[in-house]
Amino acid sequence: MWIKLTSSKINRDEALNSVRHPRCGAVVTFEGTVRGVDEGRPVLALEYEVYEPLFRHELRKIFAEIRKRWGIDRFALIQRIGKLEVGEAGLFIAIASPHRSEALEALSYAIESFKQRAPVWKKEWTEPEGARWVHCEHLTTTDR
Amino acid sequence: MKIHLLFFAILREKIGQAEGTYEVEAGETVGGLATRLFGFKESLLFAVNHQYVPCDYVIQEGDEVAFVPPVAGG
Repeated sequence: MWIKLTSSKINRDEALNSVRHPRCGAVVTFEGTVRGVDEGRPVLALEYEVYEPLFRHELRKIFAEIRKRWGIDRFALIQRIGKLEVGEAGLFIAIASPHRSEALEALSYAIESFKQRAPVWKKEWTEPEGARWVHCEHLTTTDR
Repeated sequence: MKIHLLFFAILREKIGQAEGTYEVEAGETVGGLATRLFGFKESLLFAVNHQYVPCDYVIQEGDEVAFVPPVAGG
């Protein structure tokens, strides 16, 4: 398992080279990029924030679940932090296994688990609303 | 007893700091502490010493408690 957090552009080859192996005939990848529109509003930029120790701990758990379920042990993930422009990649995941079917299933499981559990936050700049934390809108008005 | 607190994203902006030391009574839960600090605990997750815990986790001396607002990775 190979995990990297970086404030520089994602280098896909680093992740791909860390999972490739002669006994693996399939390498599947997912790249999450910054969309230019969200709920009809034009997006100018996204800022990613991560709680790194918990991030690494949860990913180790997700990876252990994948290894147990599909027997896959070649997994790499790069997470961008800081401010990104539209079109830039914020997340890259690569998984290699002998055959494609289990690699694709494991990749889907990895993405869904990541979205639910990885401590990553996105601040979104839109026009004309300004900045907001994605999925946290209800907390800004919940001062009780 | 003294504990260390971490605030992220929207909670950091609400509180105005990324971390701090805090004095709590024995028996305090992470959910109870969130309610006292922010006025709510719903939709938050909690981590102690880099692992998720349930909201009724009872805080121990020296714990590092992180309040995790709704995540948005991927």
